[in-house]
Amino acid sequence: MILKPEELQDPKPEGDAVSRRRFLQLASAAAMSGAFSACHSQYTNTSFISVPPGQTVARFPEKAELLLLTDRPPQLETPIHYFREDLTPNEAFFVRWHYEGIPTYIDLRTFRLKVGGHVDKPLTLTLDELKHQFDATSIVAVNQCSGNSRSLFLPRVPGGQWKNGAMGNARWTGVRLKDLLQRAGVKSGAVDVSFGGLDEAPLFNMSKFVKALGIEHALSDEVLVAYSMNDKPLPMLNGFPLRLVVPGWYATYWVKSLASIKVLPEKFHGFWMDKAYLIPKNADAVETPENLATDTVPINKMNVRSLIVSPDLPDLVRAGATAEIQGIAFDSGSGISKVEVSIDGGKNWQAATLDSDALGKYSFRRFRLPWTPQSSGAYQLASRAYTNDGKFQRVFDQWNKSGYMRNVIEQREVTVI
Amino acid sequence: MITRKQLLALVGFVILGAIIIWIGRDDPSQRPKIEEQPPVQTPVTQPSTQSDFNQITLPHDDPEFPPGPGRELFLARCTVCHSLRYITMQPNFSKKVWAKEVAKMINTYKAHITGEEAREIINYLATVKGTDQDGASNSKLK
Ligand code: HEC
Repeated sequence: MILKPEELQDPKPEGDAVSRRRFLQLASAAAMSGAFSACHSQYTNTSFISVPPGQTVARFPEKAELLLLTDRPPQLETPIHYFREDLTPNEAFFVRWHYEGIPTYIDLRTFRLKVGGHVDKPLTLTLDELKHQFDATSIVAVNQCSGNSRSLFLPRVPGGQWKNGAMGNARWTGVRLKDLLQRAGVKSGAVDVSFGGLDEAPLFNMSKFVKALGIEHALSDEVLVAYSMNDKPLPMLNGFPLRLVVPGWYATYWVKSLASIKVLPEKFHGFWMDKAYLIPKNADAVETPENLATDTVPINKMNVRSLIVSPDLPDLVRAGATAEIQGIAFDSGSGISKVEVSIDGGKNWQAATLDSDALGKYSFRRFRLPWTPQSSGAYQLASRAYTNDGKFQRVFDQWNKSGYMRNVIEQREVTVI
Repeated sequence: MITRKQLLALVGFVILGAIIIWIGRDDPSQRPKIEEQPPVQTPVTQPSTQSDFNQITLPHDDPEFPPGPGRELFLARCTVCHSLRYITMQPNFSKKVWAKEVAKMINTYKAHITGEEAREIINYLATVKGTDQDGASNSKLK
Protein backbone atom coordinates (compact mmCIF):
# COMPACT_ATOMS: atom_id res chain seq x y z
CA MET A 1 0.00 0.00 0.00
CA ILE A 2 1.32 3.42 -0.93
CA LEU A 3 0.48 6.31 1.36
CA LYS A 4 0.34 9.74 -0.23
CA PRO A 5 1.96 12.51 1.81
CA GLU A 6 -0.98 14.84 1.03
CA GLU A 7 -3.39 12.36 2.54
CA LEU A 8 -1.37 12.18 5.70
CA GLN A 9 -1.57 15.86 6.42
CA ASP A 10 -5.29 16.28 7.10
CA PRO A 11 -5.38 17.50 10.63
CA LYS A 12 -7.25 15.05 12.82
CA PRO A 13 -10.55 16.25 14.29
CA GLU A 14 -9.34 18.24 17.28
CA GLY A 15 -11.12 16.19 19.95
CA ASP A 16 -8.99 15.84 23.01
CA ALA A 17 -5.88 17.04 21.25
CA VAL A 18 -3.88 19.51 23.25
CA SER A 19 -3.85 22.91 21.57
CA ARG A 20 -0.62 24.19 20.17
CA ARG A 21 -0.38 26.91 22.77
CA ARG A 22 -0.94 24.41 25.54
CA PHE A 23 1.60 22.17 23.89
CA LEU A 24 4.21 24.88 23.85
CA GLN A 25 3.51 25.60 27.49
CA LEU A 26 4.07 21.96 28.26
CA ALA A 27 7.14 21.93 26.12
CA SER A 28 8.74 24.95 27.71
CA ALA A 29 7.92 23.63 31.17
CA ALA A 30 9.67 20.45 30.20
CA ALA A 31 12.60 22.40 28.85
CA MET A 32 12.95 24.29 32.08
CA SER A 33 12.78 21.13 34.10
CA GLY A 34 15.72 19.86 32.10
CA ALA A 35 13.83 17.18 30.23
CA PHE A 36 15.25 18.39 26.92
CA SER A 37 18.50 16.61 26.82
CA ALA A 38 18.51 17.29 23.10
CA CYS A 39 19.38 20.92 23.52
CA HIS A 40 21.38 21.40 26.68
CA SER A 41 22.17 18.17 28.25
CA GLN A 42 24.16 16.76 31.03
CA TYR A 43 24.73 13.38 29.49
CA THR A 44 25.53 10.62 31.88
CA ASN A 45 27.13 8.88 28.93
CA THR A 46 30.50 10.56 28.60
CA SER A 47 30.74 9.70 24.90
CA PHE A 48 28.43 12.61 24.16
CA ILE A 49 29.13 16.17 25.06
CA SER A 50 26.88 19.01 23.99
CA VAL A 51 28.83 22.12 23.20
CA PRO A 52 26.73 25.20 22.69
CA PRO A 53 25.06 26.17 20.53
CA GLY A 54 23.33 22.91 19.74
CA GLN A 55 26.32 21.04 18.37
CA THR A 56 26.98 17.71 19.99
CA VAL A 57 30.39 16.12 19.74
CA ALA A 58 30.86 12.45 20.33
CA ARG A 59 33.68 10.03 20.92
CA PHE A 60 33.21 6.72 19.22
CA PRO A 61 35.58 3.74 19.35
CA GLU A 62 38.88 4.38 17.53
CA LYS A 63 37.75 7.95 16.89
CA ALA A 64 38.62 11.42 18.11
CA GLU A 65 35.90 13.81 19.22
CA LEU A 66 33.82 14.38 16.11
CA LEU A 67 30.63 16.27 15.37
CA LEU A 68 27.67 14.00 16.03
CA LEU A 69 24.93 13.76 13.43
CA THR A 70 23.45 10.42 14.46
CA ASP A 71 24.45 7.60 16.77
CA ARG A 72 22.46 4.60 15.45
CA PRO A 73 23.84 4.09 12.88
CA PRO A 74 26.79 6.42 13.47
CA GLN A 75 27.25 9.48 11.29
CA LEU A 76 30.15 11.63 12.48
CA GLU A 77 31.61 14.73 10.90
CA THR A 78 35.23 15.87 10.80
CA PRO A 79 35.84 19.33 12.32
CA ILE A 80 37.48 21.36 9.56
CA HIS A 81 40.64 22.19 11.49
CA TYR A 82 41.75 18.64 10.64
CA PHE A 83 42.00 19.76 7.01
CA ARG A 84 45.05 21.79 7.94
CA GLU A 85 46.85 18.47 7.46
CA ASP A 86 47.06 17.02 3.95
CA LEU A 87 46.13 13.53 5.14
CA THR A 88 43.13 13.38 7.43
CA PRO A 89 44.00 11.28 10.48
CA ASN A 90 42.10 7.99 10.70
CA GLU A 91 40.67 8.87 14.08
CA ALA A 92 39.26 12.12 12.68
CA PHE A 93 37.94 10.72 9.40
CA PHE A 94 34.18 11.20 8.96
CA VAL A 95 31.81 8.27 9.41
CA ARG A 96 28.65 7.55 7.48
CA TRP A 97 26.57 4.36 7.57
CA HIS A 98 23.03 3.85 6.32
CA TYR A 99 21.68 0.99 8.41
CA GLU A 100 21.97 0.32 12.11
CA GLY A 101 23.20 -3.24 11.48
CA ILE A 102 26.85 -2.32 11.05
CA PRO A 103 29.72 -4.71 11.78
CA THR A 104 31.10 -4.21 15.28
CA TYR A 105 33.00 -7.48 15.57
CA ILE A 106 35.28 -9.00 12.98
CA ASP A 107 37.34 -12.14 13.33
CA LEU A 108 39.92 -12.26 10.59
CA ARG A 109 40.19 -16.03 10.94
CA THR A 110 36.69 -16.36 9.55
CA PHE A 111 36.42 -13.20 7.43
CA ARG A 112 36.42 -13.91 3.69
CA LEU A 113 36.19 -11.69 0.64
CA LYS A 114 34.22 -13.43 -2.08
CA VAL A 115 34.61 -12.64 -5.75
CA GLY A 116 32.00 -14.41 -7.82
CA GLY A 117 29.19 -14.14 -10.30
CA HIS A 118 29.98 -14.07 -14.01
CA VAL A 119 33.56 -15.38 -13.60
CA ASP A 120 35.45 -18.58 -14.42
CA LYS A 121 36.74 -19.37 -10.93
CA PRO A 122 35.08 -17.69 -7.97
CA LEU A 123 37.54 -16.63 -5.25
CA THR A 124 37.22 -16.81 -1.49
CA LEU A 125 40.08 -14.95 0.13
CA THR A 126 41.27 -14.29 3.65
CA LEU A 127 42.79 -10.94 4.41
CA ASP A 128 46.23 -12.55 4.54
CA GLU A 129 45.79 -14.14 1.13
CA LEU A 130 44.73 -10.82 -0.25
CA LYS A 131 47.84 -9.18 1.19
CA HIS A 132 50.28 -11.88 0.14
CA GLN A 133 49.00 -13.15 -3.18
CA PHE A 134 48.48 -9.80 -4.89
CA ASP A 135 50.64 -6.72 -5.46
CA ALA A 136 50.01 -3.83 -3.12
CA THR A 137 49.18 -0.42 -4.57
CA SER A 138 48.75 2.92 -2.81
CA ILE A 139 46.83 6.00 -3.84
CA VAL A 140 46.04 9.24 -2.02
CA ALA A 141 42.44 10.15 -2.67
CA VAL A 142 39.66 12.31 -1.30
CA ASN A 143 36.66 10.43 0.03
CA GLN A 144 33.67 12.78 0.06
CA CYS A 145 30.04 12.06 0.95
CA SER A 146 27.54 12.89 -1.80
CA GLY A 147 25.69 15.02 0.74
CA ASN A 148 28.69 16.92 2.09
CA SER A 149 27.58 20.48 2.97
CA ARG A 150 23.90 19.52 2.63
CA SER A 151 22.97 21.80 5.55
CA LEU A 152 24.04 24.81 3.46
CA PHE A 153 21.37 24.32 0.77
CA LEU A 154 18.44 26.71 0.81
CA PRO A 155 15.64 25.81 1.09
CA ARG A 156 16.91 23.20 3.52
CA VAL A 157 16.48 19.56 2.53
CA PRO A 158 16.02 16.43 4.67
CA GLY A 159 19.00 14.12 5.03
CA GLY A 160 22.28 14.06 6.93
CA GLN A 161 22.80 17.68 7.97
CA TRP A 162 26.51 17.86 7.18
CA LYS A 163 28.51 21.03 7.19
CA ASN A 164 31.77 20.83 5.19
CA GLY A 165 33.32 17.93 7.10
CA ALA A 166 31.81 14.88 5.39
CA MET A 167 35.08 14.34 3.57
CA GLY A 168 38.66 13.37 4.17
CA ASN A 169 41.89 12.69 2.32
CA ALA A 170 43.86 9.50 2.98
CA ARG A 171 46.50 7.21 1.57
CA TRP A 172 44.70 4.01 0.67
CA THR A 173 46.70 0.82 0.23
CA GLY A 174 45.40 -2.46 -1.06
CA VAL A 175 45.07 -4.57 -4.15
CA ARG A 176 43.77 -3.49 -7.51
CA LEU A 177 40.21 -4.60 -8.07
CA LYS A 178 41.36 -5.38 -11.60
CA ASP A 179 43.88 -7.94 -10.31
CA LEU A 180 41.19 -9.71 -8.29
CA LEU A 181 38.81 -9.76 -11.23
CA GLN A 182 41.49 -11.04 -13.57
CA ARG A 183 42.42 -13.81 -11.12
CA ALA A 184 38.75 -14.82 -10.99
CA GLY A 185 38.53 -14.59 -14.78
CA VAL A 186 35.78 -12.27 -15.94
CA LYS A 187 33.62 -14.06 -18.52
CA SER A 188 32.78 -12.28 -21.73
CA GLY A 189 29.61 -10.25 -21.68
CA ALA A 190 30.18 -8.81 -18.18
CA VAL A 191 28.35 -5.51 -17.72
CA ASP A 192 28.48 -4.42 -14.06
CA VAL A 193 30.28 -5.35 -10.88
CA SER A 194 28.39 -5.07 -7.59
CA PHE A 195 29.84 -4.57 -4.12
CA GLY A 196 28.29 -5.57 -0.81
CA GLY A 197 29.58 -5.04 2.73
CA LEU A 198 28.89 -6.63 6.08
CA ASP A 199 26.23 -4.09 7.05
CA GLU A 200 22.66 -5.37 7.12
CA ALA A 201 19.27 -3.77 6.60
CA PRO A 202 17.09 -3.53 9.73
CA LEU A 203 14.09 -5.28 8.20
CA PHE A 204 14.10 -8.34 5.95
CA ASN A 205 12.20 -6.59 3.17
CA MET A 206 14.60 -3.65 2.90
CA SER A 207 17.36 -3.75 0.28
CA LYS A 208 20.88 -4.50 1.37
CA PHE A 209 23.27 -1.63 0.77
CA VAL A 210 24.86 -2.70 -2.51
CA LYS A 211 26.54 -0.43 -5.07
CA ALA A 212 27.75 -1.13 -8.59
CA LEU A 213 30.31 0.11 -11.10
CA GLY A 214 30.42 -0.54 -14.82
CA ILE A 215 32.84 -3.31 -15.82
CA GLU A 216 35.23 -0.94 -17.58
CA HIS A 217 35.50 1.26 -14.53
CA ALA A 218 35.97 -1.81 -12.31
CA LEU A 219 38.82 -2.99 -14.54
CA SER A 220 40.59 0.38 -14.52
CA ASP A 221 43.92 0.72 -12.70
CA GLU A 222 42.72 3.04 -9.98
CA VAL A 223 39.94 1.18 -8.21
CA LEU A 224 41.34 -0.57 -5.13
CA VAL A 225 40.24 -2.97 -2.45
CA ALA A 226 42.05 -1.27 0.42
CA TYR A 227 43.15 -2.90 3.65
CA SER A 228 45.01 0.08 4.93
CA MET A 229 44.31 3.74 5.43
CA ASN A 230 47.22 6.07 6.12
CA ASP A 231 49.39 2.97 6.63
CA LYS A 232 47.21 1.57 9.39
CA PRO A 233 44.32 -0.89 9.36
CA LEU A 234 41.02 0.88 8.69
CA PRO A 235 39.08 1.88 11.79
CA MET A 236 36.02 -0.33 12.23
CA LEU A 237 33.75 2.64 11.55
CA ASN A 238 35.54 3.38 8.27
CA GLY A 239 35.15 -0.14 6.93
CA PHE A 240 37.57 -2.55 8.60
CA PRO A 241 38.98 -4.79 7.24
CA LEU A 242 38.42 -3.89 3.55
CA ARG A 243 37.02 -0.95 1.73
CA LEU A 244 36.46 -0.26 -1.94
CA VAL A 245 38.36 2.85 -3.06
CA VAL A 246 36.98 4.63 -6.11
CA PRO A 247 39.18 7.71 -6.65
CA GLY A 248 37.32 10.74 -7.96
CA TRP A 249 33.90 9.27 -7.23
CA TYR A 250 31.63 10.08 -4.31
CA ALA A 251 32.00 8.01 -1.14
CA THR A 252 28.71 6.19 -1.67
CA TYR A 253 30.64 3.83 -3.98
CA TRP A 254 33.44 3.22 -1.47
CA VAL A 255 31.67 0.23 0.09
CA LYS A 256 32.83 -0.41 3.65
CA SER A 257 33.56 -3.79 5.25
CA LEU A 258 33.56 -5.11 1.71
CA ALA A 259 32.82 -8.84 1.66
CA SER A 260 31.24 -9.61 -1.68
CA ILE A 261 32.18 -8.65 -5.22
CA LYS A 262 29.95 -9.96 -7.96
CA VAL A 263 30.44 -9.70 -11.70
CA LEU A 264 27.13 -9.43 -13.54
CA PRO A 265 26.25 -10.22 -17.15
CA GLU A 266 23.57 -7.51 -17.01
CA LYS A 267 23.01 -4.10 -15.51
CA PHE A 268 22.82 -4.17 -11.70
CA HIS A 269 19.48 -3.19 -10.19
CA GLY A 270 18.98 -2.43 -6.55
CA PHE A 271 17.44 0.26 -4.37
CA TRP A 272 20.74 2.02 -3.58
CA MET A 273 21.56 2.41 -7.30
CA ASP A 274 18.09 2.79 -8.83
CA LYS A 275 16.20 4.85 -6.25
CA ALA A 276 18.72 6.49 -3.94
CA TYR A 277 21.75 8.65 -4.74
CA LEU A 278 20.21 9.95 -7.96
CA ILE A 279 21.00 13.40 -9.31
CA PRO A 280 19.22 15.54 -11.90
CA LYS A 281 20.72 14.78 -15.28
CA ASN A 282 22.14 18.20 -16.14
CA ALA A 283 25.53 19.89 -15.95
CA ASP A 284 25.21 21.15 -12.37
CA ALA A 285 22.78 18.53 -11.07
CA VAL A 286 20.24 21.23 -10.30
CA GLU A 287 16.48 21.42 -10.04
CA THR A 288 14.03 23.65 -8.17
CA PRO A 289 11.46 22.73 -5.52
CA GLU A 290 8.71 23.74 -7.98
CA ASN A 291 10.23 21.93 -10.89
CA LEU A 292 11.87 18.70 -9.80
CA ALA A 293 13.95 16.88 -12.39
CA THR A 294 12.28 13.86 -13.96
CA ASP A 295 15.44 12.77 -15.74
CA THR A 296 17.94 11.48 -13.19
CA VAL A 297 21.17 9.44 -13.14
CA PRO A 298 23.16 7.77 -10.36
CA ILE A 299 25.59 10.21 -8.76
CA ASN A 300 29.13 9.57 -9.98
CA LYS A 301 32.23 11.80 -10.24
CA MET A 302 32.89 14.62 -7.82
CA ASN A 303 32.80 18.22 -9.00
CA VAL A 304 35.49 20.77 -8.18
CA ARG A 305 35.53 22.28 -4.68
CA SER A 306 37.72 24.39 -2.45
CA LEU A 307 37.49 25.32 1.18
CA ILE A 308 39.37 27.86 3.28
CA VAL A 309 40.53 26.15 6.48
CA SER A 310 42.53 28.97 8.00
CA PRO A 311 42.16 31.52 9.50
CA ASP A 312 39.33 30.10 11.53
CA LEU A 313 38.42 30.27 15.18
CA PRO A 314 40.38 30.41 17.43
CA ASP A 315 43.01 32.10 15.21
CA LEU A 316 43.43 35.81 15.84
CA VAL A 317 44.05 38.00 12.82
CA ARG A 318 45.48 41.40 13.68
CA ALA A 319 45.37 44.49 11.51
CA GLY A 320 48.81 45.25 10.10
CA ALA A 321 50.15 41.75 10.77
CA THR A 322 50.57 39.11 8.10
CA ALA A 323 48.38 36.05 8.34
CA GLU A 324 48.10 33.17 5.92
CA ILE A 325 44.89 32.27 4.16
CA GLN A 326 45.08 28.57 3.60
CA GLY A 327 42.76 26.00 2.16
CA ILE A 328 42.30 22.84 0.17
CA ALA A 329 40.99 22.17 -3.33
CA PHE A 330 40.16 18.98 -5.21
CA ASP A 331 38.16 17.59 -8.10
CA SER A 332 37.58 14.15 -9.59
CA GLY A 333 41.13 13.72 -10.83
CA SER A 334 41.80 16.15 -13.65
CA GLY A 335 43.79 18.10 -11.08
CA ILE A 336 43.68 21.65 -9.75
CA SER A 337 45.24 24.25 -12.05
CA LYS A 338 44.59 27.43 -10.06
CA VAL A 339 42.91 28.71 -6.91
CA GLU A 340 41.91 32.32 -6.37
CA VAL A 341 41.08 33.96 -3.08
CA SER A 342 38.90 36.96 -2.31
CA ILE A 343 38.83 38.93 0.93
CA ASP A 344 35.95 41.18 -0.09
CA GLY A 345 33.15 38.71 -0.75
CA GLY A 346 34.08 37.99 -4.35
CA LYS A 347 34.58 41.49 -5.77
CA ASN A 348 38.32 41.09 -6.28
CA TRP A 349 40.32 37.90 -6.68
CA GLN A 350 44.00 37.08 -6.21
CA ALA A 351 45.80 33.94 -7.26
CA ALA A 352 46.97 31.80 -4.35
CA THR A 353 50.10 29.65 -4.53
CA LEU A 354 49.58 25.92 -4.76
CA ASP A 355 51.59 23.41 -2.73
CA SER A 356 53.30 20.63 -4.70
CA ASP A 357 51.07 18.07 -6.34
CA ALA A 358 53.22 15.23 -5.01
CA LEU A 359 50.24 13.50 -3.39
CA GLY A 360 48.62 12.99 -6.77
CA LYS A 361 45.67 14.26 -8.72
CA TYR A 362 43.02 12.71 -6.45
CA SER A 363 44.39 14.30 -3.28
CA PHE A 364 43.60 17.56 -1.51
CA ARG A 365 45.76 20.28 -3.08
CA ARG A 366 46.71 22.97 -0.60
CA PHE A 367 46.65 26.67 -1.49
CA ARG A 368 48.07 29.59 0.45
CA LEU A 369 47.95 33.34 0.27
CA PRO A 370 49.71 35.75 2.63
CA TRP A 371 47.29 38.36 3.88
CA THR A 372 48.02 41.61 5.69
CA PRO A 373 44.71 43.29 6.48
CA GLN A 374 45.23 47.02 6.87
CA SER A 375 42.35 47.72 9.21
CA SER A 376 40.24 45.86 11.72
CA GLY A 377 36.72 44.78 10.92
CA ALA A 378 34.83 42.00 9.19
CA TYR A 379 36.20 40.48 5.98
CA GLN A 380 34.38 38.08 3.67
CA LEU A 381 36.82 35.36 2.65
CA ALA A 382 36.13 33.16 -0.33
CA SER A 383 38.04 30.81 -2.62
CA ARG A 384 37.43 29.46 -6.10
CA ALA A 385 39.24 26.56 -7.73
CA TYR A 386 39.90 25.82 -11.40
CA THR A 387 40.67 22.39 -12.84
CA ASN A 388 42.93 21.15 -15.61
CA ASP A 389 39.87 20.15 -17.62
CA GLY A 390 38.45 23.67 -17.57
CA LYS A 391 35.92 23.46 -14.74
CA PHE A 392 35.72 26.12 -12.04
CA GLN A 393 33.60 27.12 -9.08
CA ARG A 394 30.91 29.76 -9.39
CA VAL A 395 28.23 31.45 -7.33
CA PHE A 396 24.84 30.31 -8.54
CA ASP A 397 21.53 28.98 -7.34
CA GLN A 398 22.61 25.43 -6.71
CA TRP A 399 19.85 23.25 -5.33
CA ASN A 400 18.57 19.70 -5.62
CA LYS A 401 16.12 17.88 -3.38
CA SER A 402 18.66 15.45 -1.99
CA GLY A 403 21.30 18.05 -1.22
CA TYR A 404 24.06 16.48 -3.32
CA MET A 405 27.19 17.81 -4.99
CA ARG A 406 27.34 21.24 -3.44
CA ASN A 407 30.29 23.12 -4.93
CA VAL A 408 29.37 26.79 -5.09
CA ILE A 409 31.95 29.31 -3.89
CA GLU A 410 31.71 29.34 -0.10
CA GLN A 411 32.13 32.59 1.78
CA ARG A 412 33.16 32.98 5.39
CA GLU A 413 33.42 36.01 7.61
CA VAL A 414 36.64 36.61 9.50
CA THR A 415 36.97 39.37 12.06
CA VAL A 416 40.26 41.22 12.14
CA ILE A 417 41.11 42.85 15.46
CA MET B 1 -26.20 -29.22 11.20
CA ILE B 2 -24.03 -28.63 8.22
CA THR B 3 -25.98 -27.83 5.09
CA ARG B 4 -25.04 -29.22 1.71
CA LYS B 5 -23.95 -25.76 0.64
CA GLN B 6 -21.64 -25.33 3.64
CA LEU B 7 -20.19 -28.76 3.06
CA LEU B 8 -19.47 -27.93 -0.55
CA ALA B 9 -17.84 -24.67 0.50
CA LEU B 10 -15.75 -26.53 3.05
CA VAL B 11 -14.59 -29.08 0.49
CA GLY B 12 -13.84 -26.19 -1.88
CA PHE B 13 -11.67 -24.51 0.77
CA VAL B 14 -9.78 -27.71 1.49
CA ILE B 15 -9.03 -28.22 -2.22
CA LEU B 16 -8.02 -24.56 -2.63
CA GLY B 17 -5.76 -24.85 0.42
CA ALA B 18 -4.13 -27.95 -1.00
CA ILE B 19 -3.50 -26.14 -4.30
CA ILE B 20 -1.95 -23.20 -2.47
CA ILE B 21 0.28 -25.51 -0.44
CA TRP B 22 1.24 -27.39 -3.61
CA ILE B 23 2.15 -24.17 -5.41
CA GLY B 24 4.08 -22.87 -2.44
CA ARG B 25 5.86 -26.18 -1.81
CA ASP B 26 9.60 -26.20 -1.48
CA ASP B 27 10.67 -27.42 -4.86
CA PRO B 28 14.47 -27.82 -4.77
CA SER B 29 14.74 -26.84 -8.45
CA GLN B 30 12.98 -23.56 -7.63
CA ARG B 31 15.23 -22.62 -4.72
CA PRO B 32 17.65 -19.77 -5.36
CA LYS B 33 20.97 -21.31 -6.29
CA ILE B 34 23.74 -20.95 -3.80
CA GLU B 35 26.81 -19.87 -5.64
CA GLU B 36 29.28 -22.69 -5.86
CA GLN B 37 32.44 -21.87 -4.04
CA PRO B 38 35.58 -23.99 -3.85
CA PRO B 39 36.10 -25.34 -0.35
CA VAL B 40 38.08 -22.98 1.80
CA GLN B 41 41.59 -24.32 1.85
CA THR B 42 43.29 -22.03 4.28
CA PRO B 43 42.97 -23.39 7.77
CA VAL B 44 42.58 -20.78 10.44
CA THR B 45 46.11 -21.21 11.68
CA GLN B 46 47.91 -18.96 9.19
CA PRO B 47 49.89 -16.29 10.97
CA SER B 48 48.18 -12.96 10.67
CA THR B 49 49.96 -9.70 10.13
CA GLN B 50 47.68 -7.95 12.53
CA SER B 51 45.50 -8.86 15.45
CA ASP B 52 42.83 -11.34 14.49
CA PHE B 53 39.94 -9.54 16.09
CA ASN B 54 38.53 -6.14 15.98
CA GLN B 55 35.61 -5.34 18.17
CA ILE B 56 33.96 -2.10 19.14
CA THR B 57 31.04 -1.18 21.33
CA LEU B 58 28.91 1.64 20.02
CA PRO B 59 27.69 4.31 22.40
CA HIS B 60 24.03 5.27 22.19
CA ASP B 61 22.24 8.27 23.48
CA ASP B 62 18.84 9.08 22.12
CA PRO B 63 17.67 12.62 22.68
CA GLU B 64 14.49 13.25 24.64
CA PHE B 65 11.36 14.63 23.10
CA PRO B 66 8.86 16.95 24.75
CA PRO B 67 5.46 15.69 25.87
CA GLY B 68 2.50 16.20 23.60
CA PRO B 69 -0.09 14.29 21.61
CA GLY B 70 1.56 11.72 19.39
CA ARG B 71 4.81 11.53 21.35
CA GLU B 72 4.45 7.92 22.48
CA LEU B 73 3.47 6.74 19.03
CA PHE B 74 6.36 8.70 17.52
CA LEU B 75 8.82 7.15 19.97
CA ALA B 76 7.46 3.67 19.34
CA ARG B 77 7.42 3.83 15.54
CA CYS B 78 10.37 6.04 14.69
CA THR B 79 13.05 4.27 16.73
CA VAL B 80 12.69 0.89 15.01
CA CYS B 81 15.36 1.41 12.35
CA HIS B 82 17.44 4.34 13.54
CA SER B 83 18.05 6.68 16.40
CA LEU B 84 15.92 9.74 17.03
CA ARG B 85 18.94 11.85 16.18
CA TYR B 86 17.88 11.32 12.57
CA ILE B 87 15.00 13.60 13.50
CA THR B 88 16.76 16.02 15.88
CA MET B 89 19.52 16.70 13.35
CA GLN B 90 17.01 17.98 10.79
CA PRO B 91 16.18 21.66 10.59
CA ASN B 92 12.60 22.64 11.25
CA PHE B 93 10.40 21.68 8.33
CA SER B 94 6.88 22.49 7.24
CA LYS B 95 4.21 19.91 7.87
CA LYS B 96 4.26 19.17 4.15
CA VAL B 97 7.92 18.14 4.30
CA TRP B 98 7.36 16.06 7.44
CA ALA B 99 4.45 14.32 5.72
CA LYS B 100 6.74 13.49 2.80
CA GLU B 101 9.41 12.16 5.16
CA VAL B 102 7.01 9.93 7.07
CA ALA B 103 5.50 8.71 3.79
CA LYS B 104 9.05 7.91 2.61
CA MET B 105 9.67 5.84 5.75
CA ILE B 106 6.50 3.86 5.05
CA ASN B 107 6.58 3.57 1.26
CA THR B 108 10.30 3.36 0.61
CA TYR B 109 11.69 1.81 3.76
CA LYS B 110 8.61 -0.30 4.60
CA ALA B 111 8.07 1.04 8.11
CA HIS B 112 5.07 -0.63 9.77
CA ILE B 113 2.97 2.47 10.34
CA THR B 114 -0.72 2.88 9.47
CA GLY B 115 -2.11 5.99 7.82
CA GLU B 116 -3.90 6.92 11.03
CA GLU B 117 -0.69 6.61 13.07
CA ALA B 118 1.26 8.52 10.45
CA ARG B 119 -1.15 11.45 10.74
CA GLU B 120 -0.66 11.59 14.48
CA ILE B 121 3.14 11.40 14.17
CA ILE B 122 3.20 14.11 11.49
CA ASN B 123 1.17 16.41 13.71
CA TYR B 124 3.60 15.79 16.53
CA LEU B 125 6.62 16.45 14.30
CA ALA B 126 5.04 19.60 12.91
CA THR B 127 4.69 20.82 16.49
CA VAL B 128 8.15 19.97 17.81
CA LYS B 129 10.20 20.44 14.61
CA GLY B 130 7.85 22.50 12.48
CA THR B 131 7.76 25.89 10.86
CA ASP B 132 5.04 28.49 11.01
CA GLN B 133 3.39 29.74 7.84
CA ASP B 134 6.01 32.47 7.53
CA GLY B 135 8.73 29.91 7.82
CA ALA B 136 9.75 30.91 11.33
CA SER B 137 10.79 28.13 13.61
CA ASN B 138 8.44 26.98 16.30
CA SER B 139 10.77 24.31 17.52
CA LYS B 140 11.43 23.64 21.12
CA LEU B 141 14.16 21.27 20.13
CA LYS B 142 17.58 22.26 19.05
C1 HEC C 1 11.63 0.60 8.47
C2 HEC C 1 12.75 1.32 8.96
C3 HEC C 1 12.48 2.78 9.34
C4 HEC C 1 11.55 3.28 10.20
C5 HEC C 1 10.55 2.53 11.05
C6 HEC C 1 11.72 4.72 10.19
N1 HEC C 1 12.76 5.06 9.37
FE1 HEC C 1 13.48 6.91 9.07
N2 HEC C 1 14.92 6.18 7.86
C7 HEC C 1 15.08 4.84 7.52
C8 HEC C 1 16.21 4.70 6.64
C9 HEC C 1 16.72 3.40 6.04
C10 HEC C 1 16.73 5.99 6.45
C11 HEC C 1 17.94 6.38 5.60
C12 HEC C 1 19.15 6.11 6.43
C13 HEC C 1 20.40 6.70 5.90
O1 HEC C 1 20.54 6.86 4.68
O2 HEC C 1 21.27 6.99 6.73
C14 HEC C 1 15.91 6.88 7.24
C15 HEC C 1 16.14 8.25 7.34
C16 HEC C 1 15.35 9.13 8.06
C17 HEC C 1 15.55 10.56 8.12
C18 HEC C 1 16.69 11.33 7.46
C19 HEC C 1 16.27 11.96 6.19
C20 HEC C 1 16.14 11.01 5.05
O3 HEC C 1 15.11 11.10 4.35
O4 HEC C 1 17.03 10.16 4.82
C21 HEC C 1 14.52 11.06 8.87
C22 HEC C 1 14.26 12.52 9.19
C23 HEC C 1 13.71 9.95 9.31
N3 HEC C 1 14.25 8.79 8.80
C24 HEC C 1 12.59 10.07 10.09
C25 HEC C 1 11.81 9.00 10.51
C26 HEC C 1 10.58 9.15 11.24
C27 HEC C 1 9.96 10.47 11.65
C28 HEC C 1 10.11 7.89 11.47
C29 HEC C 1 8.82 7.50 12.17
C30 HEC C 1 7.64 7.92 11.45
C31 HEC C 1 11.05 6.96 10.86
N4 HEC C 1 12.06 7.68 10.28
C32 HEC C 1 10.92 5.59 10.90
C33 HEC C 1 14.31 3.80 7.96
C34 HEC C 1 13.25 3.91 8.83
